[in-house]
Amino acid sequence: MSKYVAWVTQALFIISLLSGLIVVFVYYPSNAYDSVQKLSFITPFGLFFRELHYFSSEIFIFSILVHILIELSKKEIKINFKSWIYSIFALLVALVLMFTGFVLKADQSANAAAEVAFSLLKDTPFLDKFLPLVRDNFVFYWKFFVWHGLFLPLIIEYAILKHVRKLSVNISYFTIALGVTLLVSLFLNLPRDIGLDEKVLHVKGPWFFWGAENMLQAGLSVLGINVVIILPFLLLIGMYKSNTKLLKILLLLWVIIYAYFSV
Amino acid sequence: MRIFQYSLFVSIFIIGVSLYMNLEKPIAKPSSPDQCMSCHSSTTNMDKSHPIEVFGCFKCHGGNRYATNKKDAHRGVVLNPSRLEYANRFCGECHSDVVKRVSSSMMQSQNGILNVLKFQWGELSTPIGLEGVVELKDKNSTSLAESHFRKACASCHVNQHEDVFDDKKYARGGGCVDCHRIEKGHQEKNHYVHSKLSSKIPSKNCLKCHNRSNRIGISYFGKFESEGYGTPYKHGEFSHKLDGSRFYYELPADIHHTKAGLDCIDCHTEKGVMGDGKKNHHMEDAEDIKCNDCHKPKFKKADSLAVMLSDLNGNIPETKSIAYTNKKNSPIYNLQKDKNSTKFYRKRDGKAFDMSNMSNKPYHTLDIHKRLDCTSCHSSWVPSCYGCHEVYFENGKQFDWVKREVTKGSWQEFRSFLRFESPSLGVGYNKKIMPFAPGCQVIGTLFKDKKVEKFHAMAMAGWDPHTTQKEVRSCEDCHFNPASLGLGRGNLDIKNNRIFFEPFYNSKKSGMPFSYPIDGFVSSDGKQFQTTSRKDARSFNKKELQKIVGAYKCILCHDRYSDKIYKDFNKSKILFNSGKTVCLD
Amino acid sequence: MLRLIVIFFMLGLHLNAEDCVDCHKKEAQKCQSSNHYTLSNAINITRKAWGIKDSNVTLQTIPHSKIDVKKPSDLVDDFLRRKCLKCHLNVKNSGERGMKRQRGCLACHSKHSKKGRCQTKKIAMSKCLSCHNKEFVGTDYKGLFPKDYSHSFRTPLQKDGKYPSQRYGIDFHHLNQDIHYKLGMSCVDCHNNKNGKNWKKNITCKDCHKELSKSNHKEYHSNISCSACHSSWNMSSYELSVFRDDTADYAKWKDLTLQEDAYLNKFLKKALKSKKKIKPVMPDWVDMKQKKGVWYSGWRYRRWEDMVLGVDMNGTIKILRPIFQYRVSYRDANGSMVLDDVSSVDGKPLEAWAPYSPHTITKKAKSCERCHNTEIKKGGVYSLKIPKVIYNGKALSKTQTDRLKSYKYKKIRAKMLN
Repeated sequence: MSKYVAWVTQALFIISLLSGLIVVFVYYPSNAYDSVQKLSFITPFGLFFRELHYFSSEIFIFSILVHILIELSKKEIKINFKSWIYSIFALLVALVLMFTGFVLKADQSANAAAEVAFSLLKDTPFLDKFLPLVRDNFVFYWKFFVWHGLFLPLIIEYAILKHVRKLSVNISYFTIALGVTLLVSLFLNLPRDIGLDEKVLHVKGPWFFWGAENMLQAGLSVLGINVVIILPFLLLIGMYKSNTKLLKILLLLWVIIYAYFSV
Repeated sequence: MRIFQYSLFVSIFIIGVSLYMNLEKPIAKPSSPDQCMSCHSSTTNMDKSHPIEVFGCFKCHGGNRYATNKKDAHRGVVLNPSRLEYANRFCGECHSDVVKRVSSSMMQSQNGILNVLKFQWGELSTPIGLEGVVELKDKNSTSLAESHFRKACASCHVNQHEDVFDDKKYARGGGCVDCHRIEKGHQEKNHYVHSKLSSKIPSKNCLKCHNRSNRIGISYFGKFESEGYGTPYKHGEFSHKLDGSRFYYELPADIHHTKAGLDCIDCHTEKGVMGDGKKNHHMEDAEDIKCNDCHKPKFKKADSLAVMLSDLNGNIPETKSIAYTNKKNSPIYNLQKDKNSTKFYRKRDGKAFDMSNMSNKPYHTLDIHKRLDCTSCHSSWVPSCYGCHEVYFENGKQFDWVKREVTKGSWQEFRSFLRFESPSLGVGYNKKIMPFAPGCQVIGTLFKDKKVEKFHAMAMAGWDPHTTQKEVRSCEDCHFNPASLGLGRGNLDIKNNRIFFEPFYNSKKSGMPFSYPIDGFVSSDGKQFQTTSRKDARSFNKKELQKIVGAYKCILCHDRYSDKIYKDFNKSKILFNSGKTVCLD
Repeated sequence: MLRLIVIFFMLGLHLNAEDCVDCHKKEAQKCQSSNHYTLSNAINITRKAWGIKDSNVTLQTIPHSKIDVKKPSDLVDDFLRRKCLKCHLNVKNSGERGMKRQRGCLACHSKHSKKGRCQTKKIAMSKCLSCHNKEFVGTDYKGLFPKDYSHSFRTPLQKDGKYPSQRYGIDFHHLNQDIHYKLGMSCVDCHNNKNGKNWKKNITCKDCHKELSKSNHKEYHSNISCSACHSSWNMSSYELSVFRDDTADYAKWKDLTLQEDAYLNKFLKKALKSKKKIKPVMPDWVDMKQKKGVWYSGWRYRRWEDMVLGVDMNGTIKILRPIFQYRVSYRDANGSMVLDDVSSVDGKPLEAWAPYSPHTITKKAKSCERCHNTEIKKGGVYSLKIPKVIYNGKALSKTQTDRLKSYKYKKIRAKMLN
């Protein structure tokens, strides 16, 4: 079972990668919103591949979480520490990839999310130095595009390779992953793009960001948010050495609190 | 691993279904310039400057230009992008300067009205500085003048919502289209006719609003708002209807209309109408054109705006030499000079009229009348509505045109009587002598919970009534007519250089809270009865009255401008008084 | 004896008129020939204005209008009976404020007391004004000028927020009052029967004002009526559109229920309120029967400052007033317009004027200019102000109009002003 989930997760990653390779051809950072709309409505099979890219990535994240859950329920961690660190790093990069992907759709919510991220970065000590890496004064989405389309995939691939030791493209798992993705996309819709001219009262970022957004609104400081965000990763690192109940309970507690704020 | 095989099997099935479904989906045919045209292909063009083949729909109306289904495509669509809250985003993308000016213009803010109203009703110390509709939008005002403004005046501003008017015939507002729309959009048998817009604004668009209060718009066309009889009856119905229960009768129309059929926009420049971006306090500040701009024109080389405007108009030739307004230096591109002639072109159709300049005859050059505004002689009549009885019912309910909902407090207007003959004269806002009429003579009665309060704010105002005629009033009509002098209707006489005046109207007995005659701007000894709302505007003073009436004894015989005594009238008077002239022997 | 019986029937058919006639035989006979009794002046001038030549009927002989209407003259008797003749000695009054009075002799004269003596000999002004109100002579003596009909002129409101209560079926502007009124004189102080004269027509100012103070009375203005100079204001009512409607179309009159006619006001208010269809009926005030059709009316405009001069039958210069300049419409019960705004008598407009004496006398005469500067502008509705046909008189002759602007006048006037 554990192996089964792991392989499907990997297959999902590959689907996401391949569908991304397709949609990247019609994406123009200088004309981002329009190119996304064009892709969705006019390009033949454009929406199909966009949905494939979106849902495979979302399910990828979910299956990673399931994978972690399964592994943590076991008594001991089999991989070595270095590999363990790479795995956690991969999770972090996956989330950043998700976030940059969200921004790249370039609608109103994407803009808002990017602005929020910028100001979070700006107010965070040390990390603020990295702001120029994502912010571009000329073409808003260019740097996100470069990160999402080039560097982050390379980095995550490297991390995943370090984690799994071998990359196998088993056609069966690939088929199952594709099936799951398509099944989900049959029943769920893409979250709708909010036009740049539309008047909306409230825009939201990607789902994993909701908790942070609400905490900010509830009055938590930027530093606090950083701590909240980094905490589960630290806990995970800590678990390698002492896979105690305490850390597990703490992680569970974190999940419950974050979920509470998300809703 | 049975579950593995099952899921593999199911997955293959799902992939098959999904591929089939996607292949079956029709592929959207790209249409140009935006996807809207895949449905709205039958829509006609709104004018020649914005062809749909080039602009598409999205540029002006927003929405999603790529979407091919109605729901997605219409998300965020703006039906009327020319409403000023959207205009910046749509019209303003190209016409940003105009949108900005209109948004702060008087026709949008109506601040002129609010300035004067609050000043006259004693809620403001000087009649300047307010923002009009804009400042009332989010305010809960308790002021009486503001309440009146909300429930009466505020119905007419450029950005009023057209849908609040029950009778669509009299609907006003809508932003740019309030003036620029010449035909409303409508569905025809197999195509949709888009609202037609034009820069050749027909006067009827102006008249949607400019038909009340000083009634310039209808006066220009020779309509005088009547006492409301609707006579003569035609086909068993009232005739001469304006709107609601208002009627008119025909008086001589303005010569610019009768002789050349000019529209409002033939004189009123773009800057004068849409604002100049500055904050103006009164209509005359915003106004650009003056009689002299055309009748005593100064020609200059046509600037780029002039070329653009005449090109846009299409009927008016481009020439090198055109007139400019003196005040704001805007091009009067339809008044042009070439080698042999000066021509005025009607904007509606480009019909040319030969312009002769203002005559240099003595009446325009002599010093005796140099303080006169053109209107003081050339206006043949002024709509004068005496006594504006404003009644306020605190417990009543009436529509608030700013908030667009029914709120507490209602107003009802009554009047005493109407006149058009022998306009009163006074010293106008420009320190020149011009026609005056009530503006406004408010006699207020406030029905509050348990008490009745009264106030009155009597004011006269001077304006160009737009009833210009070539023929002017006779000398006597100003120099010995009490109504023209501002004394009111009654019997005027002079004895021993003293002016005697006995008014006909008895205000006190007629229920008014003051004793001077209601049509009296000033007493015979120069005491001003009624206020004005401009710093420099006033009635004649004692000295002026005596000077005007004093000249009458000369006018009796010397009733021509060409008479030599007027060459230097002061000298003539000195000569006469010292007995050196042969007169009256 | 027969004559007495006739008088008996004609005068005050009710109350105690017979008591009067028993003793006042002579007066009753005299009354029979008076204009108050026959109303022939008002009747005949209106009939003439509506196109009946050589009209000579009285209240007693006025015919009924034809059923088959082709021109205004076919309707004039109906108009007279139902609008104008509301005021005659025997009318049963509709009871509007100020117009309530008794009938027959008691229309003017007060009742005898039980002791058989007259309570007051002097006829109260209110008795006269119960008929002589609104247009022209009568209420002008008190400085009253009727307001326009529309509700938007009904001001100031009463303390309870209601419209002011009207007198004589209309609201009034207050203008300058006649000096005689200010000094406390009533109508009969001048219009009396002293010296055995017929009291209406022949009273003149000179009967009292025997000594004229100033020379210009004789020198320049010998041929002019006193009122032409000494009246303060006068009444010019331009163009009355009248409309008999036999259909039940009331909604449009909602702002115009007041038409100087209390019956109509009451009728319209009822009809506008009622959910049932109310038949259009209006009484014939001569035979007091309800008849079909309602007469509506509306002016073009009315002025108190306009002044037009003309010459009366005796050659005296007087102020003219328009005889209403009628325009007539008639819609029959089937809804077809029989007369649609017809304003002509034999092709001529009804723009008739007549000389009259405004009762708005002031001590100080008008300035010369009020007559000598009279300048009527032409074009548009200004043309209503030009007298075209003059009844009981004629227009100023060319010499007279030239004299208004003569050098002699100018010189004299200039000297006066200097």
